[in-house]
Formats: sequence, C-alpha cells, structure tokens
Amino acid sequence: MNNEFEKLQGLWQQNRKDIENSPLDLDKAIADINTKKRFSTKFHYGNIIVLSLLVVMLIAFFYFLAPVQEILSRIGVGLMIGGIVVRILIEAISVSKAKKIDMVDNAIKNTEDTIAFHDYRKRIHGPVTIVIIILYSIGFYMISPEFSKYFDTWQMILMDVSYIFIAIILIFFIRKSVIKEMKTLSEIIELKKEMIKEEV
Amino acid sequence: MTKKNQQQFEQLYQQCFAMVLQMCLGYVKGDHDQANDLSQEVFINIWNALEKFRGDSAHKTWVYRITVNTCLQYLRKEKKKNKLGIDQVVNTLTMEETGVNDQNNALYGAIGQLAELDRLIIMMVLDGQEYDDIAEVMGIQPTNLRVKIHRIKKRLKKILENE
Repeated sequence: MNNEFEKLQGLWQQNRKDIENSPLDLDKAIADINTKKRFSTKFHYGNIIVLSLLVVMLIAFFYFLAPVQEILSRIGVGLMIGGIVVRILIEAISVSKAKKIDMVDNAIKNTEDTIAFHDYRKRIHGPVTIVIIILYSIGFYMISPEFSKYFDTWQMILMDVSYIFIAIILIFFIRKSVIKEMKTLSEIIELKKEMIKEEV
Repeated sequence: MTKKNQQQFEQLYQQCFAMVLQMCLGYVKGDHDQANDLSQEVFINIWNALEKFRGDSAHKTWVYRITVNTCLQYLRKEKKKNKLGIDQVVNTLTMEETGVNDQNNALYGAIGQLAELDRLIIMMVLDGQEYDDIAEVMGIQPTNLRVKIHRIKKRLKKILENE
C-alpha cells in the first residue's frame, strides 16, 4: 500500500509544481480578495442595515405623517420601534460573536466555537424573535384605536387583517431560519464527534 | 492594513497560493470555480488573522489551520447560498490554467469521495506534513491521527481501484 501511496504523493506533488509554475497575477488576486471581503462585510451587516432602515422609516412615519397623541398609541409605537431596536442589538452581538471565532485555532476548538455560535443563532432566531414579533404586534394593535378615529371601518379591518398575513409570513421565514440553523448545528456536532472519535 | 502587513500578506500569498488552491481543489472534488472561491475565502481569513501571525518558521502550519477551518465552514455556508450540490460538477470542468490534467482530476475526484475531515487529513499527508503537525492542526491526539490516516489510506486505495 505504501508504494501505491507514494505514487499518489508523486502525482500530488507534481500537480503542486504545475500550479506553482502557472502565471500568478498578484495584483488581480489581491483586488479580487478585496472585492470579496467588501461583499462579505456587507452580507454580515445586511440584516442590521435593513432593520435600521425600518426603524428610520417607522420614526419618520410616526413623527411626520402620523404623530399619535394618545398614551396607549405612544406605548404601542414604543413597543414596535423598541422591538426592532432590540433585534438590531441582537444582530450586532451575533456579528461580533461570529468575528470572535478564531480561524487560527485548531479544528476542534474552531468547531466548538462554531457550535456555540450556531446555538446562539438558533436561540435568537427562535424564542427571542418570536417574543419581539409578539411585542411588535401588540404595539401595532395598540395604535389601532387612535387610527380608527381617522380611518373608515373597512380601512381599519383591511389594515388589521393584512397585518395578520404579514405576521404569518414572518413566522414562516423565522421557522425556516430556525430549521436551517438547527440543521447546520447538527451537522457541525456530527463533524466534531467524527473528529474526536477514537479510532481502533 | 499597514504596509508591513500588506507586504507580509503578499509574501504569504505567493508562498502558499498553490498549497491552498490544491487543498481547496481536493476538498471540493476538483471543482475549479468552487476551489477558487474557497481559496479566496481562505486568504480573506488569512488577511483578517494577519495581526496574530508572528512570521516564525511555522507559517505553513498556520496557513494549514486557517485552510482547514475555512474548508470545514465553507460547504455549510455554500449550502445556504445556493443549492447546487458539488456532486453535480465533479470533473466537469477542465483546469488547464492550474495545470490539472485528467490524472489529477481523478485523484481530486477520489479524494472528494472521502469524508470531509478525511479529505483534509489525507491532503496534508500527501503534502508530506509531519503527523505531529497534522495532529496539531486538527487538535487531535497523534496516536489517534495515525490510526485515522491508516484507515483513510485504505479507503482511498479502494476508491481508486474501483474507478
């Protein structure tokens, strides 16, 4: 078997030389890495940017277009905006946790940290996000009484019912995310088991 | 990034590009596009970790650690981005630009049939790395690694015989 393996090793090392001898455009390679790095940063901060824009839009809406007057409505607005702000903070913590996974650690330690990260993601995609959506929904319906003074009944029904559909769609996507995180988590746990398995 | 770091990165890139690309090729079953993408991810992680690089003689082990960790995370990340299975593209791309011929393609294809972890271990063995260094990169006991390598070699031989 050793002889055959040495042959494979020879083939492997010959291919290494071929790669080394092929022309290398360092400037282009570094430019490509930079572009990918920028894209990756945008991807990481994508959720935070989208949610921040939503907060800005909500503040603008309730400040310029529909400045609510009643205490109940103001608490409702607070719950809606507060919920999203909490979600932004959680996302920021998530990005920071992802950055703390040290790629220079050995594979076992890196896998353990990755498991901890996905476990955190699973928790924030699940119960925490559901609580935020519930608070947001309560906030939304707390504004309804004051809004009903300015809108027709059919408009209010349309608004309240359409919100239910939006909430269902949101819950569907959250469920999908949780399933995805759980799948990733179980794959990495399996990988770790494979790593530490004692061979006989 | 400071000028010194930039120079260090360029130096590492020139020294290790072939090693990283070859490991990536083996990991993604010889798919050239994915290997390029993956090697870029490796170098982004090298870039990000450059502050921790002390520039000692063990730079190869340092790069191996980052390559192994990036590879292990890559497939999961890719699954999230698109549903295209790598099995669908095995050996369908020619790799003249990296000097990969049919014989090499068969080797990458065979390595690709091993379990994820086994692929990475055997590629370091093919690279001629010391077993103790590989054990350090993986974070497992050298004795356990030796048994693993023996099993992987047997499995690889069987795969190549069946082709």
